[in-house]
Amino acid sequence: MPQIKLEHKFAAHKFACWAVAVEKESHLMATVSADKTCKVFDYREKELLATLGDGTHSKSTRCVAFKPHSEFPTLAVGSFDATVSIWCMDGAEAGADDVSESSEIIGENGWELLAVIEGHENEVKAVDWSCDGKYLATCSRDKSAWIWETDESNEEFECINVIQEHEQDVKNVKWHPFENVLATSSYDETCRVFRQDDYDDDDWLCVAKLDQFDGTVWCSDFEKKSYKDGTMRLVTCCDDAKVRVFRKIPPPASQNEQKQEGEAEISSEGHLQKPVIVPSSLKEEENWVLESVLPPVHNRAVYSVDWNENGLIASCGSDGILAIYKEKSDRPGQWEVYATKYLAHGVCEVNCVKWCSSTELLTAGDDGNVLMWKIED
Amino acid sequence: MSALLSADDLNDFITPSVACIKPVKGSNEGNEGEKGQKLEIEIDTEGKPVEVNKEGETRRLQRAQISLSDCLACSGCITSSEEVLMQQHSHKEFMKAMEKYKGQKIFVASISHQARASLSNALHLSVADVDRVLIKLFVERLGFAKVVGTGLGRRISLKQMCQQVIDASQKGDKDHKKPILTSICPGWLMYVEKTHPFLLPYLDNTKSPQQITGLLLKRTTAAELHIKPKEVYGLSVMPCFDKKLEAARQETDEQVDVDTVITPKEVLHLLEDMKIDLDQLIAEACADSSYADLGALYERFAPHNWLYPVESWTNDEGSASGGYAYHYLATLMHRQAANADCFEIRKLEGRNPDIYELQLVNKVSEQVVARSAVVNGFRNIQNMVRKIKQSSQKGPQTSGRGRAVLRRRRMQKGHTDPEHGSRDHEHAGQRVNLLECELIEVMACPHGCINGGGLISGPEDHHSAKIWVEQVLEKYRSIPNGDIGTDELEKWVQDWLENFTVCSSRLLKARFQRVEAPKDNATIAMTSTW
Repeated sequence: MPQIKLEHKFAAHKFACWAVAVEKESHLMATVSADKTCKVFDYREKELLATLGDGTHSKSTRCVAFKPHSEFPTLAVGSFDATVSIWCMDGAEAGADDVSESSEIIGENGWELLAVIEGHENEVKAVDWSCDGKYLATCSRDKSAWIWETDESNEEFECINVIQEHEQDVKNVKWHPFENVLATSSYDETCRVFRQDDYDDDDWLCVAKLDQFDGTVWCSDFEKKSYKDGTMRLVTCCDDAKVRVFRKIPPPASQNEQKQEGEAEISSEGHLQKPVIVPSSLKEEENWVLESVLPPVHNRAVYSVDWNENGLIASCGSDGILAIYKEKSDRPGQWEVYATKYLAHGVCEVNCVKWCSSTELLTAGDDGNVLMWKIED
Repeated sequence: MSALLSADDLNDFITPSVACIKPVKGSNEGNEGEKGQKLEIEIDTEGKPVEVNKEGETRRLQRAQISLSDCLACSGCITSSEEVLMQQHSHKEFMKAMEKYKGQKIFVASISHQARASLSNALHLSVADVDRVLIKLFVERLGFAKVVGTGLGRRISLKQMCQQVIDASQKGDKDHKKPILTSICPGWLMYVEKTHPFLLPYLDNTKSPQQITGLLLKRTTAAELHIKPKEVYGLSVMPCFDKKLEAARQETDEQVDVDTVITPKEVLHLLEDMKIDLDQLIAEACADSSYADLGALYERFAPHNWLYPVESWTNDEGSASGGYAYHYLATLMHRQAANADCFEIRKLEGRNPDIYELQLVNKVSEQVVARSAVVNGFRNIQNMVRKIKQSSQKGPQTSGRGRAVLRRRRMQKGHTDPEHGSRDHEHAGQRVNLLECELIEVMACPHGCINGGGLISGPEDHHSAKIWVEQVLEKYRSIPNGDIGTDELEKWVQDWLENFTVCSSRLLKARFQRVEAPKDNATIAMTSTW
């Protein structure tokens, strides 16, 4: 069985590190913590690039996400103080021609605070950008998830939808890698899937409610693969120590005839082109089924799960275990444990896991550290 | 844009949070001279809570009571499930009241236009027939003395609000907060009181048609029948549940203007519970020759000395929530008198149908002389609140700090017009600009009152639900528009206030209160769910 080797330890924060986000193209990593700051590192050079703090948030920073397809590295930080801050690294020399401008620009090394979004009533638990960077989803203990629209300037954020279907805290929001489909996970023991309405961009419909859980659903992640027939898969992790994979069964072809003209094509970047849809009065519900409960590794709450582009799934949790799963090549839909690391952060809980390459991943723990691991055979 | 109808399917509605924070008032009058001593609470052998002071003396604790008006002071213990409970209670409560006060009190009812439209659509009747059915129900089956539409109350409300906005704009007071926001929607008002008290100075305090009608109806009926107002029981049929909370708000003289509010959904439950056959009721109402002349019917069941009873059932131009934004501009246009022809009211659509601006434009000069706007639904309200907040903050704003960076970047790239946004919904360069409006009509429900949570809901799936709302709206618009001349209305109100010795603010102005969130950690911890 392959081993998980510790490659590097980033002593990122003195207090618990809640989350880590990865920007692969520029190999940037952002971490957030109970110390109310967000730190940006280069995980290849193993260097701390900037600390975004300075009182922007009055409480712990809880979640962070990089904006995809952004001209300049941009990230969103969600905090327990109910706000979300947006930062951008504009790359210009700091200070030089800026003498006349207000010199209270925060951040270092060219990172600037662009906006502080208010609206949630209490702690923001997760933030995530849609695949095209147009939408930012945020969710909170106030039981709602909000969808914000922004433009390239990242200054104007307009709330275009508030999702209130959940009956308790919403712990996590995650966008699909190619479509405007959003998964929300909640303390109400369900995970819901939302899709943008075909006719009204601002309308988001709940197309599925997954409720085969025995506890808070902490996190979910979509498979980074598009299927020609519209299949989708979502991995979830839960307080009940189980990791589950759900599959969306696309509607049967005969029903679909009315809906689609022409086959869906996958462009060179792997993006699914939307088929032309003819108006249909069919219900919007999608058929999501529980495909698999992954082989048990965890014995306590699983806090985070991440699905790599190469198909591996990583999970981490309160028991300090980092687990990697691989789908059986001869039996798709069935999984085996590929590698595990116990006491990854010692006795501390592991809050978040993110892949940064096909064999490397990052975990953030209550010890304030972010550890970089490599899978070796 | 979300357009879900029933109370069970709340989507874009403002939902209160879970915590009930009824302020724990110390009712320890028994322990004199011992204020501030530490007390503990224990459970005795019978499982009842007792208070133990440091001498070990115990005292049984009274169960905390929460009244409906306390709910208004709470940060919103009314969750979805409790809304359903509230809904079930109310028509039952009304039935109990009917039993209890039979022969002792006189019952009167006021009915909103949206409720009539909703019933009309659900029962496949014309609004006229619905009015006949409702009057037959209340008067003949339930023994009510009076039934009126809320039209008179609405006209008074419109006129009062309009005048207040015009006065405020003209005064040029530097304390005057612009834009002025309506407080007619109780859901919106409570949200402001609880979550954004900084907006209270922006609110117009004109009372809603429900409350104005309620007070007028009670007092006028009482006078006519030579009884005390307390001996009149007022029922109101309204589009949503928040209207119940509005009726429960305390008045200065502690008198209740509207005793119970029920929704069209509850009217149907009421019929079931009372075993009144709806089809038979409809057949009777439509066949009754004395009901044929609707105008005469309206007059018959309005109190004497009610101004234009027939017009109380007629409609107004503008939005289906009452047309406040529209009325403001229409009044200004009307005041142009001879020049009124040079002006027209134009609509500027926002990014979704629940947000739009109305402009009073001089057709000749193309100059916009006045603006108002309509904002419905939570997400639009969120954006509006944020814009107002940002504009009210003096000094460098957090979001402005980045502007220096981006302006420089854009100039480097040779972009022109650095402030230009990139929204698709701009029309010929014009964007809805809420901050430039004198008045904004704010409603908590998407589509406004025509989509209230108490109205009868249609099919569940999304697209049919949209069509259902449009149908209800059509029925609403089928109610003929009416008008009561401003001077006549003003005089009648003045006379009424004098005759009934009611202060004008008691009739026309609402009171707001900041709602305190719990500050002590114990309450916060106890009432939070992590």
